[in-house]
Amino acid sequence: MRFKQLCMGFMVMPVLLLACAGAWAAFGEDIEKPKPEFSQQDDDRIARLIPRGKSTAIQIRFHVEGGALTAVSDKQYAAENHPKVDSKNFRSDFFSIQASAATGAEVAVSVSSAYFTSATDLWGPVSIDSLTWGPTGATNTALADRVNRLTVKVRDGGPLDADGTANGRIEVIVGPRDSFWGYALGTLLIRFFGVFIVLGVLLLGMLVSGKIFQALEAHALQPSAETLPTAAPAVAQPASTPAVAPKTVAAIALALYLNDAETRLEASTGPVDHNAPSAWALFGRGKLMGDRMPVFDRIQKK
Amino acid sequence: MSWDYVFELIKSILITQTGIPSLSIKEVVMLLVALFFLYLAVAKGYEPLLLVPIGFGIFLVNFPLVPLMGFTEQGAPELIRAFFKYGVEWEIIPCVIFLGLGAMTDFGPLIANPKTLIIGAGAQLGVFITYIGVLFFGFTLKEAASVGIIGGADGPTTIYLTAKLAPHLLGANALAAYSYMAMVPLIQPPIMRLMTTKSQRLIRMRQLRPVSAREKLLFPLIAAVLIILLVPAVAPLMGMFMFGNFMRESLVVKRLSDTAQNALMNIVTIFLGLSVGATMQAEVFLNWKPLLIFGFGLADFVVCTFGGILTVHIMNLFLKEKINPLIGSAGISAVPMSARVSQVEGMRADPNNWLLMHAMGPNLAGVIGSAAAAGMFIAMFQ
Repeated sequence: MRFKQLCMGFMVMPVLLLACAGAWAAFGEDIEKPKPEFSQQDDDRIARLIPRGKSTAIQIRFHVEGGALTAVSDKQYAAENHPKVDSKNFRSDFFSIQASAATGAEVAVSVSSAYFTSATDLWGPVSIDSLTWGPTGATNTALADRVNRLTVKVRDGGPLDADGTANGRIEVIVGPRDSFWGYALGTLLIRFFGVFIVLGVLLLGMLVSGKIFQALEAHALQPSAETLPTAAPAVAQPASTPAVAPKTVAAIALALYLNDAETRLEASTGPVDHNAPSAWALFGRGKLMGDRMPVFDRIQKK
Repeated sequence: MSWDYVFELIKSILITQTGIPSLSIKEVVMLLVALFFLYLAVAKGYEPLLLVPIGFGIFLVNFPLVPLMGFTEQGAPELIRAFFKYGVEWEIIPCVIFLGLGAMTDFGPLIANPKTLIIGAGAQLGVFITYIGVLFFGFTLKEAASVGIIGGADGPTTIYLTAKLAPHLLGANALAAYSYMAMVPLIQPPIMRLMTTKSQRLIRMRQLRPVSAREKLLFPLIAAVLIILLVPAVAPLMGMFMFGNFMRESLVVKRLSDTAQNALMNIVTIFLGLSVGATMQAEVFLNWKPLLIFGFGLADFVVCTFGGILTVHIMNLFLKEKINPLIGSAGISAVPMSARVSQVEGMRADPNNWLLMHAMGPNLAGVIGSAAAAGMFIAMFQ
């Protein structure tokens, strides 16, 4: 009954969840939108922000070659105007980089951060009307201290220049892009196997320490040569307990073994009749009980 | 003084100083939700130690104008907000609970059969599957991680991770985790029966070797070294857990160990429950997200149970001495409920088969595994 209820639940649940899937936009607000703070260092601008999917702040450095960097700001854009641009892929969001250069000149705009990887690309509007967004063709260079630099060449009045006119002022809108799903799935696998690795290492540690402890305990139980008595060892047994004959011990051991074997057989082939023990088991039990009887037979003892 | 003035005064008092006119439908719904959880705890006995304070926390904060979860004009936190701020936001209470849990835990079954650690790792499958699943529904990476950890069936870990990554989901996540932990005896058995044959359920396991006091004493030190070196982010939880266990096994600080197990644990449980319940205010709680969290939380538990049993099946392909796959379900860290479920299911197949102590191994491994998974997630966002 419970199983049926659970099956029903499992059938209903995905339907409900799928029905809800369309409604996610209702609560899919961008609660992690980065809020960069800008500072200046020499000719460069530094943005300090907490990107989406991170708890700690990162730094992004902006630099312009062949011109002068005049300003950098975060670029607000309406997601509904760019349905093909998924903000999840742009974890540090978009920036507007403004530079001055000779009219019609080409400048190299570079964006670098230790947060970027070799897979990070630089996206932005690639047409003069700013409607088509895509990869800007930036080159990704690995620097020291795990910093990656993305460099894009922009010509004043060219397709990457937001104002579209050759006037000595260049505005580039770019956002470092990392595949959200690539990151999510990649990290999923790495971290799931990471749990196995952590517990696997602990397993190895415990196996090794377990062996050591078992050896130590066994060693501690063995009497050393110094402590061995010269006379017969004083066995801590009550004097009244009769010694069990070796035959009896063998019979008991065999009975126990057969009983254990029977259990194992039961596990692999199904239940066997417990009321019909083997002849060996019966003999063992009988002998065991028979040897014990004199101890309790007070009348005979007297 | 005219009657008009008196009526105006009464009206003003009613509106500004009593809650009656401000009571909304949403708040009434939340009050009913609170009563439902109190009913589950009191009448059905589902996790009463936590559902009673959580339920009462929900109950208290869903009255209008109550000065409980806000801030005073001077900026000081109000009563339950103070519990929340210093206990949960500062991540103190989950770690103190881990201290108590460590002091309560006997690692003997895990030390005697360390192979069961792998089952604890396999049972984290649901955590990661759910993490991906909720991403499809528009959750952020941090939210997805905090929802995924529900399947680890470890209340303090869930609270710790959620407080760190997605504090706005704390109420829903904690409630889902504790509710499903209470329902482990209902959720797990059908999956266990579905994933095992009769002959597999009859497998008897060799009695565990005795573990010396010295081995038990050194285990928390060895485990802490290895785990914290590999996942430093989990040091607050694992450090406290192993510290509690070391106090217990050292046998020289019995008073401290007793306090950690009983008085301290009880005190923080009250504050934790109230604080978590108080996060479930109508305007925050009544939307699609908590419903999805409850849906995915259930799926998470199911996949984790599946993962644990599947891991045993895979291990049995390589092991000479087979493991009863019923103990795989104990890989989720609902200690000791899921181990008890393994025992009960084992006895249904063979009344003389005692699996409880064997199941405690994966159960404890599940605690470590879910904490390791939480550490992985924390490290991911650093």
